[in-house]
Order: sequence, then C-alpha cells, then structure tokens
Amino acid sequence: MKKIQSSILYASLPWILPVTLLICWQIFSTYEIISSRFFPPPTAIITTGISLLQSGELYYHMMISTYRALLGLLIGGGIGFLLGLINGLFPLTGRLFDSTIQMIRNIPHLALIPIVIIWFGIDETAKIFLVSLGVLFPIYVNTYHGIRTVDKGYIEMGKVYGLNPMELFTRIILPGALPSIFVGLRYSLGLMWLTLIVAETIASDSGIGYMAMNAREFMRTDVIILSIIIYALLGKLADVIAKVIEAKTLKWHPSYMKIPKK
Amino acid sequence: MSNQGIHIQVSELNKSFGTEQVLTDLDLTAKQGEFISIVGRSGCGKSTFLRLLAGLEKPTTGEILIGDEKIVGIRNEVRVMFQEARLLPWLTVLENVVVGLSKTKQKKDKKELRALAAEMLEQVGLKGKENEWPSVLSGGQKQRVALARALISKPKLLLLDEPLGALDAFTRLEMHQLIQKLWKEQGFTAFLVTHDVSEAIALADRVVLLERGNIAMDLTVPMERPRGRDDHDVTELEQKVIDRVMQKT
Repeated sequence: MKKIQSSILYASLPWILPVTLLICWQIFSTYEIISSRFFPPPTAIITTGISLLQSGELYYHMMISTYRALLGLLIGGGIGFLLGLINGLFPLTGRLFDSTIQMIRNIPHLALIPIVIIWFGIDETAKIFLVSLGVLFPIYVNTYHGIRTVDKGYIEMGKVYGLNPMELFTRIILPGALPSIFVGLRYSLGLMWLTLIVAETIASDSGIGYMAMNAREFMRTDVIILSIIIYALLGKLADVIAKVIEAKTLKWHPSYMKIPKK
Repeated sequence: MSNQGIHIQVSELNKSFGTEQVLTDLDLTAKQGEFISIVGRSGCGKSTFLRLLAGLEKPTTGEILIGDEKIVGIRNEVRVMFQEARLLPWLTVLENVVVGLSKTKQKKDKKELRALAAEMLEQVGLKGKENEWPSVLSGGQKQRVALARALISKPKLLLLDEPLGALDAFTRLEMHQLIQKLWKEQGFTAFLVTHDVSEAIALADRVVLLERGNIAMDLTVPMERPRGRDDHDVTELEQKVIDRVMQKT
C-alpha cells in the first residue's frame, strides 16, 4: 500500500510546481495582489478563450496560421528534401550546390523580414516565404547528411544481389536516410512556428500573431496570453504528430522497438 | 548432388591499386562444385581476389572465366556472404531473404517469393523468426539469414568473405555444418576467405595459401567429411599450413 502511494506521489512530482504556480497566480490576481490588468487570472483567460471560440474569431485566426505553417512547411520542406536528395545521391551536383546552400543557410532568415516586406508586402506570400525559408535548411541538411551516411556495405550488398538503381534507392538509401530526415523534420517544425509567430506579429492582418498584436492596442492581456498558449499547444501538437509518424515509420529501429519485458 | 556449380578459371590475374600491386599473375582453377578455402595473412590479397570474383572490382590485367564467360561485372549467378551479415535493418528477416530473389521476381508474385523465403529460412534453422527485425537476432542467426539470402536464388558460385569471423567457437561449428549441408544439397562452387586455418581445412576440398598476391601453397584436403578437429591428418595438414605462413615473418 505504501509502495503504491509513493509511486503516485512520484508520478505527480513534476506537476506539483506548475499547478502550485497556477493556483497562486489565480489567487493573487483575483485579490489584486498583482495587477489583473497585467496578469489576468487563468479563469479569465479561459473565459476569453471560450467567448472567442464562440464568436468564431479564434477559429478563423487559428486556421489562417495553420494554413500558413503547413503551406510553408510543404514548400520549404519539399525543396529542402529534393535538394538534399539530389545532392546526396549525385556527388557532382552536391559539389556544385552544397557550398552555396550552406552559405545562404548562414543568413538568419528572420533578418530578411524588412526586405521581404518590401518585396512581397504584408500579404500571404511574405509569411509563407519566410516559413519556407526557415524550414528548408534543417530538412536539407539532414536529408543530405542522411543519404551520404547510409552504410556503403548495404549498397554494395544490394548491387551484388541484383537490385536496380531504383530499388537501391527505395529499399536501401531512402529507408537508411529516414531517421536523419525525421530529425530534420522535427527541428523544422519548431522553426516553422517560431518564424510564423515573428512574421505574424510584425506584419500581418490575420492569424494568431495578429490577434495578439491587435489585443495589445486594447490592453487585452488575456487575449495576448491566450495567443501565446495557443502557439505553444500548436507547436506541441505538431511535435506529437511527427513523433507518432516517426515511431510508425521507424518501427524497425532499436530505439522505437517495443521490447517485451521478460 | 545437383550439378549447380560452375567451373572457374583464373588466368594471369593482376590487380593493382595505384602503385601497389595486390595480386600478381595469379592462376587458379576451380572445378564444378569445388569448395576452395583461401587463407593468408592480412593484406595478402585474399579479399581483393574475392571482390574480383564477385565482379566488384575489375582486374588490371588477366581474366577470370566463369563457365565460358569472362567476369566483367556483377553477375546474378554469383552471391557473396560478407564479413558482417549486412541485413537491412528496416526489413524483416523474411523480407531480407526475399532480397536474394531480386532478379527473378518479375516472374513471380509476392506470395510465392515469401513462400520460397520461408522455406529457405527453415533450411537454415530459423523457422518462426520470419517476422523478427534483424536487430533482435544474435550474430549467428544474422549470418544464417545472410546465408539464406545468398542461397535462395540457387547461385552457381558462392563467395564467403570471412563470414564467421565475428562468431563464437560453438556458433562457428554449427555454421560449418550448415554450410556443408547446403553445399552438398545445392552443389555450388564455393570460395571461402578466412584467416582460420582449421576452418579452411574443415570445409574445403582445397586450401590455397596466398602470399604477396600469389599462391604460395595449394593443398588438396583428401579426408572424408565430416572431419574431426582432432583427426591426425587434419591437425598435420593444419600444422603444415601454419608453418608455411609463419616462416616468412
């Protein structure tokens, strides 16, 4: 009995601090020990969330942000993946393109915001361009690296066993590079939200970032905090989805294997 | 015994990498279905010789005939077992064996291929492991899968590049028996590269000692199989080979 109790205590240990903080926040803010204008109580934020959800405003902004994030990921990730693939497979194109890509990679893509606004204005293109640029490089670098580091022994084996170039690619090179590609994807997902937050906050007329910036003008701290929380949740959600896909695809990999306990 | 094996004729074979001469004027003939072990110190050229037989390298001069044809590249009737099993970790054991049928699969459907692979796995004593991932297998089991993959296409020539080097002594003996059994059944011609003289003698019809890129010794092993490890003739032969290797240090 004692053992069960202690194990429950052990499991809840990481949650004690955040829950206590939330409770303190609620109490201090409700009794105006801290200003509820700066720190609206958690319950007020939840209420705001519900009312924004009911008005459809929250849904609208969330959809726009998700759309931008995914389209940017698709374009940037797609280009990064293809470039990584081609440069990894063909040493000659690798030699031609890789240095240039590495040079561009060193430019912090968020530093391009002023010039991107001049080029594209503040409409969709600008944000999708920035997100694409942000996610391109991690996926490129990891795809390239993944393909280059596939065990040469496997490729030699495949040749001896009569696989044609297409089969070599689909059965040996791509699966061998996949763990590395997933590392790139997950890193990219983080950058995807980060880029979008910055882009939407600085120059936008819709999206979660716009919602937060707009709320600032009316001192609606509850809406701002709500936006921050939504960003965090979306980021977490993307990571969880990537993790699930990864575990399904890489189920052969020892680190994803479900080992029956003996 | 089926007549699956093929005649191999190596003549005036030279191979050099840059300025380094690895094989010099090598001549060797293997009869149909003959099992030849190649021993020698590291760097004597035995692995290079095997890679030439596999068509993974091209001779600098000279030629190798397989049957009546010159080896110029990778051939479908030649299979290699590598030092490491080289099983694809993302394919199950069964799927790995199916890889061995790559060239023939146009004619057969997937079900048939899998049935063939399952049968082959049974022959190497791995029935029931079909759907395991390679990473959970022991070293010996991995090499059994590799052997199944190599033999499922009924090759005419099997090249073994120290495939048992990393296994423990008991597993090795087990593998010897298995290789011998399948060799008798299929009758392929075989070349085994090894640094273990007793292994070479246990398995082969002939033991060839390579030294500085050429044949220093070519001994027929006349003893009946299975050969006991403590058999007087076997130990004598083993000593003879080892003495020859050691004298030039």
